Amino acid sequence: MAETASGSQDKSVQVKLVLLGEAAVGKSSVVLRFVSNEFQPNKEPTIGAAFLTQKCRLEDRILRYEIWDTAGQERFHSLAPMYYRNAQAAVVVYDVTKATSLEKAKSWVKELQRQANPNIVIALAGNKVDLVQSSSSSSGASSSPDSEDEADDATATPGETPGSPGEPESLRQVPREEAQAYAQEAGLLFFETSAKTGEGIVEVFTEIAKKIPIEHILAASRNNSGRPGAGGRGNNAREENVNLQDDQAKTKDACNC
Amino acid sequence: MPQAKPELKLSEPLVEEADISDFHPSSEVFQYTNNFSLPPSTAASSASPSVTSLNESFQDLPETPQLQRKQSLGHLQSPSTPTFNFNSVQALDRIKQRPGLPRSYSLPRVDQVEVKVKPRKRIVDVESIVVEPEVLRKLRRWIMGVAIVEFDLDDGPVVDAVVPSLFLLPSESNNIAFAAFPDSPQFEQGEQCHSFRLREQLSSDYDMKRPATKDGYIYGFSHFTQKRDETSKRGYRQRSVVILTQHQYPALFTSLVSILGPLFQKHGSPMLEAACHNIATWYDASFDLYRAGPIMEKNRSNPKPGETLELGFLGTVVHVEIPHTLDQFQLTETSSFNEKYDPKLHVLASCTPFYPPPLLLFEACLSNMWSIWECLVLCEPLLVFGQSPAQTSQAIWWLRDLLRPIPLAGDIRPYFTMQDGDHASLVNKLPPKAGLIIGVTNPFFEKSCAHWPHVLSLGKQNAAPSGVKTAGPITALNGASAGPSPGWKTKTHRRYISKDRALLKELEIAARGDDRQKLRASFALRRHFCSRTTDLIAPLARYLNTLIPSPQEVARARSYKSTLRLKPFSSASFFASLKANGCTLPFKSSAKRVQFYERWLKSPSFGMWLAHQESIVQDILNTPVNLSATPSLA
Repeated sequence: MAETASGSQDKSVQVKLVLLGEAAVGKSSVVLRFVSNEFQPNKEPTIGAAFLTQKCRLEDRILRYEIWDTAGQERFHSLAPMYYRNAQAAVVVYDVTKATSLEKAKSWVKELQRQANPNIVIALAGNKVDLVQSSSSSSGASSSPDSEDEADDATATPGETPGSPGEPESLRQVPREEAQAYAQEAGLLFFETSAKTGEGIVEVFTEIAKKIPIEHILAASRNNSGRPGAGGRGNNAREENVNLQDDQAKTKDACNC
Repeated sequence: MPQAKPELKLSEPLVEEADISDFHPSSEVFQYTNNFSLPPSTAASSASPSVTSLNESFQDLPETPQLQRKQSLGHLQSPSTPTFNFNSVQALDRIKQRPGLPRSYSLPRVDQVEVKVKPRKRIVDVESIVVEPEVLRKLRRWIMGVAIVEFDLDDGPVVDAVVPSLFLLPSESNNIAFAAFPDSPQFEQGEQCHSFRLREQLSSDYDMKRPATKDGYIYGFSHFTQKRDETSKRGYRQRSVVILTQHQYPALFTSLVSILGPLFQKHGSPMLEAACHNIATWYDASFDLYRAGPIMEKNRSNPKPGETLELGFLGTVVHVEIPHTLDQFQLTETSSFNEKYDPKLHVLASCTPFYPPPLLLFEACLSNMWSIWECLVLCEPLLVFGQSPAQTSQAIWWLRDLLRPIPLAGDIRPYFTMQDGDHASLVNKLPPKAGLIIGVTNPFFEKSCAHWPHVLSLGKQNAAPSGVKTAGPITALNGASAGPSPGWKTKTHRRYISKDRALLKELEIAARGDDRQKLRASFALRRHFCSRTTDLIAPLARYLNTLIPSPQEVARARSYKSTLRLKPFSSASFFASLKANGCTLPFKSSAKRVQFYERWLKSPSFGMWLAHQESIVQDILNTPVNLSATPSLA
């Protein structure tokens, strides 16, 4: 399944995808879940950016994601443009238990919309939703005041620190509705995910795959210096809205990698 | 920044740890009044923090800083102060007139001598770059480190930092610093990539202090930039980013450093950190050395050599084919990419960089290519002149490539400077060593190598240097091109084989065409000599096959448990076989054919080739797998 950085390219469509978001929101875990279907509770922080690939079937097409999993730490912020340059897709990740991480996500979205490829497909993913499950959404209760400092442990999660068991609801700092409304307004795909349980992960990449203007990539990739995404692509894919509930239900297994 | 470090180090007690044999025998005396011997680059400003950059490279040492250990040695070789004759006014003019300071020629000159020694600010904050041991281990499968080399106005080229920290002797550090820069002005503003090969000077005692090289040499791939800089006294900033590696993969590392160099200029230290971590996630590059190492990450197995790798590097995906062995000729036609080989997209690791088209290098000597190839095969020493290190290194790697699958028997230096620690041993009054090929840009070599038999000067008459991206106009810096005029000059060699006149015609037409035609012609030229080399080997392979023990002999030997080997090679019977079977290589006459093979059989490269064939056969014969398996040689 996990086809990583080895040769075979077949006749797949190459899609450059970048993950962005604040430190410790779980970007690498999201990728690890998608690529290897694994989860590591205490993942070390990414330095610079990691590169992974994963194939993904969508109807009769095979997409091959070239995934750049960037570092969330501030000192690497200035490197981000080289990862999102020519990217056809971006997943901006925040942590549903940390309100500031959504603010950071918004600033990433802004930066992408300003500076990235104009047709880039952006997905907003609220990760660590496993920590707030057991009841529905919302309740913007401000629980344990998170320090603004970057956590040393990349996946430091409030729920995992001993002494704060249970009360999942109180951990949520970003109501689903709020993030979803923002995503809609900004023209983003929206998901709540858990890299830990796998919830929503495949859907993120499947929905992106559906929204990518594949024909344009195919046409552009080998003409313009051969780099996928180097050429311009036509219509603005961001215009259309996505009915999340329906799509998620429909495409549960669309991505049989 | 650790300001006080240098003094601290100086006050530490001396411990004698050095082995004099670590240092090159051809001793010259350091010119510094300072009695502690740093490389010249930092010696002049011992109070500046720049000294700490050297301390960095010694941090692997238990307690004794290398800085002091040499204090007691007194007389030391200084590779940067070669004993050449300043009989050229032009050269004198270019050298900054300061006693005691070695200069290279790579800067627009200044007439004013700076009196105050300003502490040099290091651009790489090495302390901030922490590389975990596991990351380091994986990184070092591919590279030894990345060196940042600055041109210090007072001290000349100096290694500012190596990331991750790498143990280097002062002489090695100095060697790297000089090799990282062009030694002649290239452009007013611009950037350029070149490569070099340095002999390791560490004795075996120091083996554990840094990763092992594969052949006793460190390969450097340098991205040099020169930019206007108002803050600099001379108005220019010169810097090189150098990938240091144990691997002879010129196309791959040139492509990597051409990505890393500009990004480092823009982003600084975090970029180095990101680059190192990227590289650490790659597959194992050295299939022989580290095969026994720990298992790769999950879902990743070692690729088969010859397979294509996709290497993610700083936002770019590099598609690269790693050869099975260093002596394998990587064909563009049968490359393992899943699509047609595209030089823009794909990298054949062991080749020379294919941009700009290598044909440009040989424009003045296209009709001599057959002589040059013969000289390569016969291990004749070659002096290669170019206008830039970019040219010479591209040419040297190209020539090495043409030899494949014959192993490299001599020493090759893609870019060789007078500051190289091996200068005195390679370039002296004696006849040059067999198989030695050096690429130089400094016209002084024309004099010091006047007794060399063959000189190849690259490019075409009055051409601007190729392989140079310039931001500003090329000024008259290149001037009346110093050094021999482009072309091939030989004192001794007379050609044995016939040229391929049709191909020559093709090349000459392409030389007047556009880049695409030139690239296509470059590939055609490469392919042509690849098949010539194969033709050369064919009669020998045929003969060697007759030396393989017969199945009966194999069976008998196995029952006695004796070691099986190829029967001894006999020149007489080879020549008999050659006479009987002929040869597809188009020799000018059969007498020439015999003469050529007689010479080749005496050359070191034939010796290496034969030894390699023998070991292949022996391996197969003595593997108790399949009794009926009969080895055969290519």
